Amino acid sequence: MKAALASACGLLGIAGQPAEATEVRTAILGYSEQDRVQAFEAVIDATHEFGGGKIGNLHVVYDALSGASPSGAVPSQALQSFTRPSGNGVYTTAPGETPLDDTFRDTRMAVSGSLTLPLDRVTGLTAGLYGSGEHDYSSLGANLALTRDFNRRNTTVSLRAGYFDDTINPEGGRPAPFGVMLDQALSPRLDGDGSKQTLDLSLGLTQVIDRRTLVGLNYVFSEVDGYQTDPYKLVSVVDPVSGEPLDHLYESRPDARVKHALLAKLVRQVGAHNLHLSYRYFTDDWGVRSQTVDLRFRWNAGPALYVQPRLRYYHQGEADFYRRFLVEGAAMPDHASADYRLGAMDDYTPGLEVGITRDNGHLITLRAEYYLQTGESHPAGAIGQLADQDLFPTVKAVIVQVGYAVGL
Amino acid sequence: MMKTGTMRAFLILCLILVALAGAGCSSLGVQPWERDLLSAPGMQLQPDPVVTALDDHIYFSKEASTGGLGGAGGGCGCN
Amino acid sequence: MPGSRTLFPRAGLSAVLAVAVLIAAVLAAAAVAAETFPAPPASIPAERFDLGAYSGKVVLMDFWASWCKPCRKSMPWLRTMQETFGGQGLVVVAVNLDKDPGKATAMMQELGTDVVIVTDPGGILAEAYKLEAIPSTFIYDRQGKLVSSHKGFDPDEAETRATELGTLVAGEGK
Repeated sequence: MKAALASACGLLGIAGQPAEATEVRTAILGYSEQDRVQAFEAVIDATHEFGGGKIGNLHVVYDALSGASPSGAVPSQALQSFTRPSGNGVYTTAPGETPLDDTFRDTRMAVSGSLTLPLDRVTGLTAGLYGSGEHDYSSLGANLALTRDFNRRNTTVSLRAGYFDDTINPEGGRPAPFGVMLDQALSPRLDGDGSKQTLDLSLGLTQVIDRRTLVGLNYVFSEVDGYQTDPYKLVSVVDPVSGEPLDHLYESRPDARVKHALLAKLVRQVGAHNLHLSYRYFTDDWGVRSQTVDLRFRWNAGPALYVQPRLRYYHQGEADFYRRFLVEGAAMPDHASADYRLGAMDDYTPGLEVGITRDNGHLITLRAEYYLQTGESHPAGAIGQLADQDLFPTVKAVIVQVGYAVGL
Repeated sequence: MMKTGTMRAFLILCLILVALAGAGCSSLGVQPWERDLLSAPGMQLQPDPVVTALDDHIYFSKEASTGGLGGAGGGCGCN
Repeated sequence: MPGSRTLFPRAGLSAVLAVAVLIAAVLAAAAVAAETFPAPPASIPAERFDLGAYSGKVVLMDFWASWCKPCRKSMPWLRTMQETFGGQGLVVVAVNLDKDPGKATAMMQELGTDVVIVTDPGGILAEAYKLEAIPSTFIYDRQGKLVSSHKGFDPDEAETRATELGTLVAGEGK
């Protein structure tokens, strides 16, 4: 969604090249976790300046997921057998291995479009629509943004609102919360599709500090109501002495979530190069608190080449209802999830991006990154055999992206 | 719907930021003809919207946090 | 069985190595090519610019820079205005605000030889005119009085502005 105004300055191209009215950016991305999930994504993003400062944008994404991801069940010293969420068939997990489920493999298409109208020389209004679909999930959304410049465009304030309505109809239907996973049969189900509504509100401030420095501040408020449980994830109930799993229950998450994120960004010219540093603090009423630091240094080797190393660090505290496992005989909590993505984790992404501008002004970008997710492999409270298992194997993923942009 | 306390906090934050924008920041910045460096692609808050969108999607799918400079995240059944 | 097909077999290190080799090759090529700017066309430095020198002519004064995207769209329009109305007594004065005027050479050449080019890397004239946007255009009549000013450049308005300019130039012909 672009809120830049076309009629007076902001954007650069190569000096002397004719300015194009249409920018098209394309990219393909491959994501591969060692022995787990692989994803392929293709994106086209087109922005066109109509007369009078109106700007239209179209963004299309295709992605294909395959492989398997942890179901949330704990590893065991014995061979385990799990029923597929659809109820048809089983998959087995070797002793000492993390149970992985491949049900979610899927393809998804998402399309979004927006139109920006200048209300006056310093004010812009953007309206957009969004839609996405995959075999078990669809989402429709609309958004509105108002941007205004002050102080000779040194200060920009933006207000954004978005609303999304999602429908979830998982394979086999939605399991009842804490339903026991039965052997080759469907556990009790909830009726119909799940739905959830999201309201996002954000407020942004950008300030030019001097000729070489820009800072941005953004606050995002988000409220999600409806079905937020992952219908394919399990929580194991283990024996209080041996730690062996006795039953696997379908997880249950609350149906309301309020999130807050505060993001600060600094962009600074250092010699002929650029430094980008951002920090995000996130908190929600599920008890998740996180901090993200992202540092990029764009080394400009002339007008046609840049090399940009990047390092991202992410720290997350676990959700209140996160339970790696439940213990037989203990009181059942209202909600529980063993989804590692709600657990405590430290993630690292070192990466490198290279941008080459051809003589005709087209830009080729190449990006390679390594994404490491680490968590509590041996939490205190791991009972019996669980103390010898790796309860959070490190996730190692490679990300490779190739992009081509014209009309910049 | 939104809790009253949160709505109030959000509105107060809005007012503070708008006030800051209008008054407090007027001494900072550059003249319109001094934006040469700031107009370069490497100096934009989001130099590449495609990279930002792809990254956001990866991290929203693998972590519990949402929200970036671009604001709203879309829906997806990502695992 | 959960699938263990991988798109990238243990590719972490290989990917990084491949990118490193690519970077080395490109950097080597870049080191060989040097960045040069051709000599700029004749221009008047801002300190020596005198609007009074154009008394009796209609003056269209435009402030621009190479890093300004709408400015690049305005170059052909400025040239066309000079070519169309130059014979009737219009002078287009294009004031370049690049801190390094060498970067604007290609755009200056687009303006043609009849447009008067002023270089203002120090922003002296920009400051004097209290510019609020780039590009900014100021139009003076034959008596040297400011008759209109305009911020930005919108190709949709180009024709209207050309007609207005034509009227001004013709109306004051003696």
